[in-house]
Amino acid sequence: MASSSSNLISLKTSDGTVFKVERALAKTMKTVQAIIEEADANIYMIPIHNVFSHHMDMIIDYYKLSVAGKSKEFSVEKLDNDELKDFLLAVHYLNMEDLFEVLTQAVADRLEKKSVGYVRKYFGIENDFTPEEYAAIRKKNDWAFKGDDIEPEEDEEKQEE
Amino acid sequence: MLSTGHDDVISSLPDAVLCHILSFLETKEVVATSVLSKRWTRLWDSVPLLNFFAELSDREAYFRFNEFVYSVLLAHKTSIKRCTFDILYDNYHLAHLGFPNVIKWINAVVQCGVERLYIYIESYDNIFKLPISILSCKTLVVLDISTLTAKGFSSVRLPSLKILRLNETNFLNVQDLVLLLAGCPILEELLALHLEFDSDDSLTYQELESLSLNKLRIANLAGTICHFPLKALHNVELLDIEINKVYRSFDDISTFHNLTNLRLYSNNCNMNLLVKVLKHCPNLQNVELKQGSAIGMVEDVMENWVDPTFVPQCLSLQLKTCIMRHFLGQESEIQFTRYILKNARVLQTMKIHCGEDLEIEKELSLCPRASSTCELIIIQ
Repeated sequence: MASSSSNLISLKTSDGTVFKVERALAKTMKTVQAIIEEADANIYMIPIHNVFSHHMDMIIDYYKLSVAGKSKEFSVEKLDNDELKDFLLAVHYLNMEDLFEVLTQAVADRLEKKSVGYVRKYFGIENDFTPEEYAAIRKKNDWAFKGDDIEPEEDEEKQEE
Repeated sequence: MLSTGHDDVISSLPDAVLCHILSFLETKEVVATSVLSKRWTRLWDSVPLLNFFAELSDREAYFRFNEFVYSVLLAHKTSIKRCTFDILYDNYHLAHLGFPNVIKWINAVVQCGVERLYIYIESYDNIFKLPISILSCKTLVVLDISTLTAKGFSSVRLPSLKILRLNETNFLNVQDLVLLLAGCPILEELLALHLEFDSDDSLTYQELESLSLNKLRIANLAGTICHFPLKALHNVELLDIEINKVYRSFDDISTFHNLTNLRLYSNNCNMNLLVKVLKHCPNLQNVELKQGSAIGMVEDVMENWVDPTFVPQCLSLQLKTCIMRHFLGQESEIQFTRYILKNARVLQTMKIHCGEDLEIEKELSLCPRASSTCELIIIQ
């Protein structure tokens, strides 16, 4: 096992900042843990791609709250949709189970009861169906659309392009 | 630089993550994503969670819903981790038509290795019968069912079940309930609210002794009045129970070493018995006594109080709060309260809920208290 002399692990984010984190926090990042375990000698610095310093700040916030038993107080409300997606990707890369659950739930909450048009815009999805294909799929899953506002807003998205 | 535009983000969110996000949504919404793009058409049937909600009041809605559920279940490719059926059949005929389909759906989901299953099937005139296939599902970890009948089963094997929630479930007799619990060796949480039994049998001594749920930490049996085997609950930390039919077995019960929070519902209460209960709970910190059962009946308390010759360990060392609800103001109750106040050395709160016209405040506030920090609160 590497680095048994120190209880802090150094992580270097994509934007060049070095964070010294407790071993226990590094353990919640399965990706980092795997790197530590594979190394023969002591590792001084672990680079974490796709993770920026503002992500690490939030990760450390979450960790502190969960250690204090207050993980429910962690909120990502202030992040806009793109920032939330980025953060989710970072956490996914680091393979952090609990925080991943929290963030995917947060994304789902923002999508709940929204129209197909909204979801399309949120994820930037291009509609690659022909009008006939689209009509066929729509008809096939008829029940999913009856009775509420999941109607796709086709005109709206055509204006986007 | 990671996020420049929408295009970058979509190509970098892998399928698995998208499926995970979708798993928080109702199945109806998940299926709706199939129109987003060709990639999404393939995604939705890999979402391992299914949530079906419907209130069916006419035939058209009924048929469309049926078709929907069948097509979702048939299309599903991965194993289903979690499934909810929350269906209200608004008339007898629809229920009659619908129930056999629900049974097929549940069987299908069980075969897919479901881990968490929630079944709420309601119909005003009919009671849905629990499919037996559930009772031998090796993968099931959580089972939550409401207003069903559980009859006609003879073997139960639920080796992974940790949480069992039963609400208004109807059993033939308490033996069947014991049979069900015996098939759940690693059960940690049991909710058995307002259970109903066709027959009033008692358990034999052997039946009482045989059930042992060593991992059970939480048990809530409010509203369930039956001869429940207390030995099965000996490791619990939190317990809600109706003691009316159970109390005759109190002489032989083992001690509840881990019990810290206890809520007792008792009708025609025997206050001396309550002290005996406390004797069996050496680490009890919070106790609540509610006169009358969880289903609302209230009878007079037995007037047979005798000052106990012993002081239970929990009174001397542990008990912090004592709450009494539907306090009737009878002599036995007053004597019991006086006994607690006199002996509970670390008691912080004694809270009594009673009727407006009861004048007990003066009498009780004059009782000697073993704990100098004890607060007496009377709520009318």
